[in-house]
Amino acid sequence: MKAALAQRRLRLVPPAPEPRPAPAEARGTPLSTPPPGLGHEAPIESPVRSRAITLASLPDADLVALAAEGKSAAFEVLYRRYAAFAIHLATRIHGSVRDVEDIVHDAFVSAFERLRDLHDPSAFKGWLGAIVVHAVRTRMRRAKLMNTLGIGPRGDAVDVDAVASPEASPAVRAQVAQIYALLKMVPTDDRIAWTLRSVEGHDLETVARLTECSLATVKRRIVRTQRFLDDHFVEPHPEEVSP
Amino acid sequence: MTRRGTPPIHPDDLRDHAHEDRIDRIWERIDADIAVQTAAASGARRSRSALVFAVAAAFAAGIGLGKAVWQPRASSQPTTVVRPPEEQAALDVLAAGTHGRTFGLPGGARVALSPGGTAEILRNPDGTVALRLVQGEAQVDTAADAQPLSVVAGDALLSVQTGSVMHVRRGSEDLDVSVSEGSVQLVSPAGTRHLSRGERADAIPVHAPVVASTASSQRPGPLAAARRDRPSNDSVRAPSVAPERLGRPEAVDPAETLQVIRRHPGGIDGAIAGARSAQELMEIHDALRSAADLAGAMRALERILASFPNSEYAQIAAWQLGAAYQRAGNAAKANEYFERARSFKGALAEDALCRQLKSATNKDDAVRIAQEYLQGYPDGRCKDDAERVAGGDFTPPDDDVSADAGPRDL
Repeated sequence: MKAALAQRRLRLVPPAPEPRPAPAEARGTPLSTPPPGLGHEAPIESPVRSRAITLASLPDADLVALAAEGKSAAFEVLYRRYAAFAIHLATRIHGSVRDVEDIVHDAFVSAFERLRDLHDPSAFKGWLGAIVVHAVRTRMRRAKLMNTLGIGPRGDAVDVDAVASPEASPAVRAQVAQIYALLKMVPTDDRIAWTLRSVEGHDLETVARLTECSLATVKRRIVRTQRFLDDHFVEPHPEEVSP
Repeated sequence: MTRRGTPPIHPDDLRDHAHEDRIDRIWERIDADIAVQTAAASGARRSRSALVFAVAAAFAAGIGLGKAVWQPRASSQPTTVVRPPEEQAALDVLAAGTHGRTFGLPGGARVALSPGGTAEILRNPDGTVALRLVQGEAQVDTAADAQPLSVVAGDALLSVQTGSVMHVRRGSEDLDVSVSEGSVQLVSPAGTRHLSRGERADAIPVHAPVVASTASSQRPGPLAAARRDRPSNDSVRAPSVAPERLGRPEAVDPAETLQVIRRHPGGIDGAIAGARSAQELMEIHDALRSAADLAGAMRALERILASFPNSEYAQIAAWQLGAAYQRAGNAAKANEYFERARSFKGALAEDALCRQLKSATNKDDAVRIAQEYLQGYPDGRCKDDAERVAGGDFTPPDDDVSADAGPRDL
């Protein structure tokens, strides 16, 4: 695929040093309200002197437009631009790396199929984030239901190595493990809202957009989760933490 | 142990799972899913096409058919215009980015893109270009010394005459056009209009409407568009009018396609040279063949082999060309293309070898081909002929046409 991407070169045309003066009789009457940047004062650029650039230099909106036309190379650039964002989002909400590849895969395929529904192409990242959050939420609720029915995997234990960085201190690793263990006990939606706010660091409005619910609901969920964690979190003594 | 408030979790304290190998691995799955969806759609089409071609070839094998319809072309017309694959894969894209930018185009026209505007340059074999507006707004200025310029937006086609200034805004479903100088002809799914200085047309649909028989008539995404190729009674798409329509899975009606390519700025050769996929070329071939323009149809096939040699349509293109030259009595060219068809190891490989056997002009070649056939296809449909030739019973085919004959000479 990398080879295919390299083959599908895009060429942008660089600015020419001197604008080409158009014959006076051919100059069109300017429109009453020309859009910004459409004036003839802009430098004229000649494709004859074109140079190759990569798709990666295009902004999200351009890539979304090209991908929506079926150009998978443009979509690959979008994917590589936001794959880490999606993976982090999924693992930190889910608290596990077990299903992260499936979640991210499903989210991007879903995004590709729905690109034409994206009204503001420049808002691709937030839109993708909402898809990822929705995908994680679906899996978490399904897992919870299966656990309730006794047919799911026993998932009470927290895999510290999957969640905490190996570079983090033993004390921090223990804190992270305990918090994620406690989060397993709160409702899925509450957990998602709290993680987006307190771990990912998004502001409340962004959390509301990502979870597709109201600001008031988001606040209520975060406060409820924070209160639960504060009530149940126990600070371990340093000697209780194994390095 | 002590109780206290929950300490904050810093993202740096969490493990980073976004490794390159994981990112690559996930993309392979995504890419495969996209490819499978597309292949599933085009595969069904290819199978149908192969069957249709095979049946058509059997019926069309009448004596002199090829000669009757392959009329000589005008001597001044170029042969197939072939661009190297790497150039084919390239896209000339104009993107304004965050600031408006003005671009000069070959032919003298200028296009000013508004911020966020994106357009592609479609190059015709005669050196002229057309512009495909992907998104945003553009002002097109064809000065007095500039050539007319065609602007494609979805299924709409705008023909900007020399000395015109046009402003166009493309939305996801429609476009607005205003002409401040000169004149523009607008062909869209809504019909044809001629706009002169000071006139404008708003909310022109850029896609042919889908008349849905079910309640769900949402505009489908790219994958859904590919799936539309499967036989379905759910929707009936109105005729399309612009070159952009070519190559889409739903553009399968040869009559529609023929109308589209005849409107191409470069004519039939322009459509062939400007085609951006093997599927698009196969649709052009189907359309030209249905219109008895077999020379044009063969040029489309030749371009598939030249520009898209690894496509799923390459084998059937080679087989079709071999069969056509065989009908025309040009054994050398027929053999060349059948050899090419065999190299793909697909469903037509046996048939190509069988036809090579029947068109072999000397005994040594015929015996070699017969032995190869019997070895590869011991129970093949040409087994009897192969055994007869391998046993020394060889009769060369009638050869009343020059070995140099091609479709334009027949």
